Amino acid sequence: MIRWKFTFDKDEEEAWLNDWCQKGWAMTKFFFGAVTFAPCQPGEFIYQIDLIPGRFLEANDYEGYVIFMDEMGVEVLQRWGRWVYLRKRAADGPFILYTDAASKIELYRRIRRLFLWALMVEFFCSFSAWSMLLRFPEDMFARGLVGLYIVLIAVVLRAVWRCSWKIQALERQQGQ
Amino acid sequence: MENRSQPLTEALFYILLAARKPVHGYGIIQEVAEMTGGRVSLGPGTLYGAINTLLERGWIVLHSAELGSRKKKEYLITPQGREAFGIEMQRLRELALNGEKMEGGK
Repeated sequence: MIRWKFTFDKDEEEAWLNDWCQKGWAMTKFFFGAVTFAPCQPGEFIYQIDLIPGRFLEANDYEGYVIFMDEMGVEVLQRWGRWVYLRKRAADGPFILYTDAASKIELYRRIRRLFLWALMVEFFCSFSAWSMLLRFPEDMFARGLVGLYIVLIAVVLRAVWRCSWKIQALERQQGQ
Repeated sequence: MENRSQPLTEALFYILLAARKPVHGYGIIQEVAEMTGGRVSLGPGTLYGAINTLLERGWIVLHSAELGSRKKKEYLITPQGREAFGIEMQRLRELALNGEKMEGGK
């Protein structure tokens, strides 16, 4: 079974994957928003999504990360750049990746840095579309392209804002 | 990255403590849960980040790197790690000592 999922919120996606697993469908693959599921026992696995530390799209020591998780009984199901989909058998105990405020703040800062970087790339890429629109204001292609960039920039801006909001809530909880 | 003179997080404190003798990742989680009666449970992501922070600071090192063997990575505290732990213990003792005043009512 394949379902489409487009979100820039990993917490939302995690909850979505765990919901499907409760219904007897275990995620096995991810490719450009297409999520593949296979039948499983309801609630057989617990899913978590992580962003491995690194620079831009390059993860630091991916092999080391996989070995480390393997020792914890955690399976690295799918890698998507620095994003990884992880799961653990529910029978092996609870599975929460980040258990204190400090490491959660670090995670959301890492995610925010990645989105800010994506925002910058989008912004620079959109220049040619803007200049095309200025020269041919009536051109439907130029209008469409600018529209697309505006939507993309808005989506990522929202993702950045949500990260900041989560970081602030965690800092308040931590009493900083 | 937090400043060195800042208080340690519970995660860093307990990982340093567990690494007083060679210990592997899963061993840290088990020992910390035991020591705190299950109050502090370290998630794999939290542990992974904390271990890397401690390795970068030189407070713990990889132990038993038997190359090519399937043996799990073990970690051991360094003299710098012991020093940082000592400074934190001093701070905690001071905290506990000052806290006693509450009972005395002075």
